[in-house]
Amino acid sequence: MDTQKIILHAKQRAKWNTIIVLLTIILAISPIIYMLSITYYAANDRANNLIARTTALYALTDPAVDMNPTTVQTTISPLFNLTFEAELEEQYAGQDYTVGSYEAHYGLTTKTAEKIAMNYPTPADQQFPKYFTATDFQLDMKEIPDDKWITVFAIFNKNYTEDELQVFLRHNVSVLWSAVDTGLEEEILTSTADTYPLIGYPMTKSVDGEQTEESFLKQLERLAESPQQPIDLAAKKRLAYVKEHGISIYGGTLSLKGSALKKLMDMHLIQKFKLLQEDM
Amino acid sequence: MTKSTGFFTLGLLAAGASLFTLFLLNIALFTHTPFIGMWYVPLVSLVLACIALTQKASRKYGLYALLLTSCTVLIAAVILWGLVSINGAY
Repeated sequence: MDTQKIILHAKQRAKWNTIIVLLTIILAISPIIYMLSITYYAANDRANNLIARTTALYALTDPAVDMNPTTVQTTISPLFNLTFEAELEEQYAGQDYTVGSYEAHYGLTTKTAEKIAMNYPTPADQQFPKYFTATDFQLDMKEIPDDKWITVFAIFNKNYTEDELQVFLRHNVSVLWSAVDTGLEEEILTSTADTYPLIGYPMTKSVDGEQTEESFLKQLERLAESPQQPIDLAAKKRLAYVKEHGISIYGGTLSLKGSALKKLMDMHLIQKFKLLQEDM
Repeated sequence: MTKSTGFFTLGLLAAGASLFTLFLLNIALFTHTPFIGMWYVPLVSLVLACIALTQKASRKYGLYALLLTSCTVLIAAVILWGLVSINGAY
């Protein structure tokens, strides 16, 4: 083989080597960054904890709307961004309806954006989680027809245990969400300004596959342990109160007909209420 | 074509197949398509790489293809594990 041919052969090899190395670098960048991004969110259950915390926040602070954990769709981008979407559900007359969607964007576990889109018109100032003040409640039944299914948030005449809530079920009333006394409710419900969201737990659905009281405490612990809380729940203080005094239910979200509400008001089982939804 | 040139081409083919495996992984990530039906591409790449390893003329490319395919499969496996372990990601 003459020198010319050897040089040509070496040049050809060098050309192929350069092409292969360049293509490898170009094609490897995206999968490697994506893998690092996925590993970051999968390690220590970071992504699952973010999702669980938001689900818990809905379950514990929203008396009417619930986030369905089975509808969660998560997307992870190569640049360490996480987006998750879930359907928001509400119960009317024993039936679950999808009433909106929730979408949150995270960059390295810090929430960068949040979008809540409801399928029905909502007040422009409506926020998540809901805040209740003294001015929200009404005492009279005017403008509520007897035969209409409604959802109300009611303050009971006294505190109940979960078993004692049977007294409402006897009047054809479904208790959808129980508001738990956490020591701050007097301040919240007598104030005219937003203070803290109410805390309670859904009665008809389980969170994390567990039911009611046990699940509630677990969820509250999760919120209390959370290092980054987007809103002030005073979760640690309230958890300590509940652990000390036990779970005592002073109110709740009720699904019932107008006539049943009237009856409960007449029997003084309900002190006051806020109309959350009329039937669709 | 001499035996040496033939194996050199085989080595290039092995490297090309391993790059194609990596390319498929890119497409799968960008389009969110699993490409499970293309399972034979990394397999072909590995077989070609092993053949290429047997001759001096193609050994370098064979080794390169073997490492690249293994790394690609490893990256794909890690990504899959991550997606499966995150609620609603897979």
